[in-house]
Amino acid sequence: MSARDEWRSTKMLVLMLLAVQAVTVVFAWLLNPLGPKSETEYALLLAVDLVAFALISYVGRLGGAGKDPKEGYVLVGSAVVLFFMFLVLLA
Amino acid sequence: MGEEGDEEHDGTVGRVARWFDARLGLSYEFLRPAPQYAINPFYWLGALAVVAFVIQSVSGMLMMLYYVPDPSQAYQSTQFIFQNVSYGTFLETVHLYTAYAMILLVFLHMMRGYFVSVHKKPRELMWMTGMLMGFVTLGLGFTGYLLPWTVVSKSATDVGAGMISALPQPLSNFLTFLVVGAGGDAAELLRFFDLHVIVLPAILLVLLVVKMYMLEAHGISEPVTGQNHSDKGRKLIPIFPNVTFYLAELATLFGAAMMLFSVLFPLVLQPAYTATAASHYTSQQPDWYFLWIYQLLKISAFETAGLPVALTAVTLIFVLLFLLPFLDRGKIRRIGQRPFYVTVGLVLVAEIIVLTIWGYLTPGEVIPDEQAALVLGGTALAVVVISLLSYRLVLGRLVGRLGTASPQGSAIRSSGVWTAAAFSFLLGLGALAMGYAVNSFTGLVSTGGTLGSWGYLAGASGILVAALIATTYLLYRVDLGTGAVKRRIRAFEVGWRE
Repeated sequence: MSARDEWRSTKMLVLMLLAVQAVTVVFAWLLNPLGPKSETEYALLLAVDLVAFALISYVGRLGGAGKDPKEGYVLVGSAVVLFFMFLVLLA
Repeated sequence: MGEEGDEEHDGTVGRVARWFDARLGLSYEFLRPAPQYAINPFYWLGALAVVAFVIQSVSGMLMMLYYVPDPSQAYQSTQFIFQNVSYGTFLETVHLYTAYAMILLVFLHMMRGYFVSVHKKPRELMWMTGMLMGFVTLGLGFTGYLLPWTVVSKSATDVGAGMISALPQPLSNFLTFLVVGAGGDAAELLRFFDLHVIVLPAILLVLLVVKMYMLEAHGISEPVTGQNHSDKGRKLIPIFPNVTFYLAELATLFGAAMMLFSVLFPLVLQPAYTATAASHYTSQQPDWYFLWIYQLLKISAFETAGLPVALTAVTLIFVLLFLLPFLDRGKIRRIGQRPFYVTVGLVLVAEIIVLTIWGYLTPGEVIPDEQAALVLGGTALAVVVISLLSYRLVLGRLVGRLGTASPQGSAIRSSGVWTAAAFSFLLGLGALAMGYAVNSFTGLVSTGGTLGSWGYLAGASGILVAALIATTYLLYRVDLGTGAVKRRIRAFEVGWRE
């Protein structure tokens, strides 16, 4: 993969994570704060937000230093985000 | 000229920023760059504890809007937070779990510092400030536990207050006044609330500022790899954005973990405290971070007459840890070259873990002396022997790597089954003997000297000494066989056969 392709995929990942963060904020805002399941959903949405932020920060930090982020970390982070979102659906 | 030119070209925002900068000194460099090796989570355990403290402060302030520190309303107001406040259970759960995480992180931060010798020159006062912060953190946990006014929290606090009253005078009177106040439930709860939300957080913040000032002065301690990490040789990275982003990653992942815990194990409010409920509640025990002390005090020898002895011993552990920089004064920082202090630290950690788990499994039970002596003595002996052997094997490996004529490590590894069997036998014998010796000693302290207890003590001590001599002899034989010991010791030559 060329440097330009890598940069493009990194940018895509960051944009997707930002979109996920936006969606979680909207969902968290719409929750009924006194609902029986809303505490669980709220905590999970917040967790999604935080992990997404950590990933963006990781990619940005290494990108700023001219290094490539480790693929394994990015994959695990993305999997965790998806898993938490799946848990929101189950809650 | 240039600055004037810049000012001319600045917009309104630039001029405002320049005005503030001139007065606040924002552009002055006040955080020194961090070395590259600091991009490692183990260097930021203390910072994560601060993150936990911030989360607790925010969640605590929100809960304070509803909480009433009065025995007649404390439980109802807590119940109100759980049932009627938006995300109230979530707030309570996160507040509790971050408190647990903070205590755990502070402990890990301290033990890491202990093992890698961050307390050595010039960071002695940093260590002592950190220890004070640790005590304040425990105080925050202790005072916060009472506030919901449940039967569990009140009983646990009564246990803690009972411990304080058993301390030697005048410490006991001072701490009782400080913690319990003028007497009575209302005064006690109000005192705990004040300590929890004002006094202790304020002290913690002051100590944090002092510690940060010293960190800025001395920088982050070097790793104990034996390589030269002088300012010239090491790579430095700026605090912003590199270190700031790294900390943000750690902090947000920590926050996510707290969220997950709050989802998996949401807090359930225990029944309210009443005198009747308390009389039916038999398994009084403090929160998990004080369990090791409580379990120690549940040993039957320490239940009555021996209680001040046990509390003095626990206090002594804290005092020794606080004064560690003045006890461990050698210049060597490497773990591999500090067998004594590392082994002592391992014994301390092992005993705390064993006592905590044991305390969790036996709530409210008095521990017989023999059992306690066997478990604690056995744990200590096992850790000492394992540590000693590990040191010899690791040292042997290092010697081999350095290319000396003594391939000690491989020789020990292949020295035969009999060596392992002999060490195991000595381990068992030593643990048993230490158990009986401690048991006899506690018997002497609690019930006075009888012929039987003196006999037990003498016999057990004799076997223990014999086990230690035999272990030393065995190690001598192994060393002689591997060439680590060059000269034979005449006293050990009895019955020697080539």
